[in-house]
Amino acid sequence: MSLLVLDIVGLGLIQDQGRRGFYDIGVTVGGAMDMDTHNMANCLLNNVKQAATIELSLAIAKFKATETMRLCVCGAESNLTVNGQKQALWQTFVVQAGDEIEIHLPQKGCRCYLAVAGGFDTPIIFASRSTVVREKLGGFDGAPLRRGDELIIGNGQQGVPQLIKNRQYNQDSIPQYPSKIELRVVLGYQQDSFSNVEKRLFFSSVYEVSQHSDRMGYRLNGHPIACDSYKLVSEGICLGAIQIPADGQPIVLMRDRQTIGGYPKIGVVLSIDLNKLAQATPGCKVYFHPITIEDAHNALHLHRAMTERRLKLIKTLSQDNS
Amino acid sequence: MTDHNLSWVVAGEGGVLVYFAAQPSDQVLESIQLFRQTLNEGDFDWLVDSIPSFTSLLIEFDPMLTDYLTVTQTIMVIAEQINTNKKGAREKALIELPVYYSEETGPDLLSVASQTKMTVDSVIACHMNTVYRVHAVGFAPGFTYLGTLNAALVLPRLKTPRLKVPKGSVAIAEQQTAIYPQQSPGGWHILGNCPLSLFDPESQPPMRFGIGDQVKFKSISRQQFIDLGGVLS
Repeated sequence: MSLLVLDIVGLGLIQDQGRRGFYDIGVTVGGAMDMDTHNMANCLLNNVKQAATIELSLAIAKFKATETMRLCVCGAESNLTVNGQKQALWQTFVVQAGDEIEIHLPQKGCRCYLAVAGGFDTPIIFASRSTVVREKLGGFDGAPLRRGDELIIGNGQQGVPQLIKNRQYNQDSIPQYPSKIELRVVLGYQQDSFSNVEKRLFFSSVYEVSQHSDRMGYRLNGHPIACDSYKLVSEGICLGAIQIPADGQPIVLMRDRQTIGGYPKIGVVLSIDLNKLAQATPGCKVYFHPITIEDAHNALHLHRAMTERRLKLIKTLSQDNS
Repeated sequence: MTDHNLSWVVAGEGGVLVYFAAQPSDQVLESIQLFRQTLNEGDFDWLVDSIPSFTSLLIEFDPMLTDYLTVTQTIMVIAEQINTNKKGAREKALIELPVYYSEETGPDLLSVASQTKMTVDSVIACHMNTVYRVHAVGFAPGFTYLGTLNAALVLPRLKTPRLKVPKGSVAIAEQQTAIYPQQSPGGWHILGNCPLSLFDPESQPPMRFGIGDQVKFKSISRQQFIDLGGVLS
């Protein structure tokens, strides 16, 4: 059973939770940029947590099913069609052999996740299927999806597949994609090398997402932030670290970040807020808000409770096919 | 091994960055490796992974399983343990890497020469005459940070990083030198190119050398570079 890529314009990548345990040879984590939405797509299909999805970033893509299979698309507001018929996002649906699934460019947001019951079974390298193009790892030899690629469907599903009916998320569970976002920041790293004036400027300025943003880092344009010292021995970089190079323009390091670097960092964006940043397109306004590490941990626990509630609110559709 | 006066800073919701010293040295390298090994042997359920570097170790923990206080207390306990558990340095391998130093493979060769007030030939000689040690691997798979660069070549990083640095580029920044194993963005001064593949996920092990090993550079001609599979962009 497989899904064929008939056509794709823009970036399509196989992603999962990412690879862990290879920092000593410099291998980055990778994984879905909007991890929340990736997880929501898998949950709707009762897939295991490790199942891989297709992450489409500002892409137009057309696929063909070779057999009957159940799919769903979650994420950025896009037109989804099956054989030209409109199909809702955030809802599972069944396609038959020969059916064509088409996803158009998002009107709002940046990334869509196409999931299939059982997950996509591309080769596992360094314990993950995630594609990191810069490292040439995952997917098909580290390359983005191309016309003609054949994606084999795996068996990463929990329970008995035929008993699962089509399901959809409650409207309230679906994220919005505003043109202005606030990111919570835990101060840390070289925060002492930034004066109180510079910190205040950083937290009171509005930044704009640059067109040079990618899976490695989101470059932001706005008021430059000065650091007392740029002489820094390269050190480990965590997800969401806010790097301030000498030009003063912040870079928020994302899933494909380098593991080590030598630019000063003022703090780290809360991981769950990176899902919002991952959906931001060039020109989106970004504000930063400082929180303590205790508040950060509280926010993570609250987020887990909200995630569980979203799963409880999933509706089962009476019709098996929509 | 001397006493470890460790300090640490918050690195986000799930990270603690532990500093072992202000400047890198072979002794600091050994301490970090010993600390990391002891941490891994502790079998903590909250430990995600850790990133060793020149003077620090970034410990990543799962904040849903523990808290900042527990992690920093563990750090103090391990620091005590490694102070009483002294180990000697193990024998290190010496690897020689061929480099084609030229303007076509080293776009910063001329600017490095003018900034250091040296001739191009003496910049190259200066870079080749040191036996380096792998102090860290990171930034990209197989990207080895080599120390310590001759003081005459020490320059700050580029103000704005390049969006694309070719695979194999041999570059310098601060007291460090490195080879870019893949094309990637980067802010270092490029002096030349090494035609050998330094990271292969299909090989076991995937790298020719690792943290702690010794590296020396050898100058090769344009023809030797091409013969060894080097690519001119």
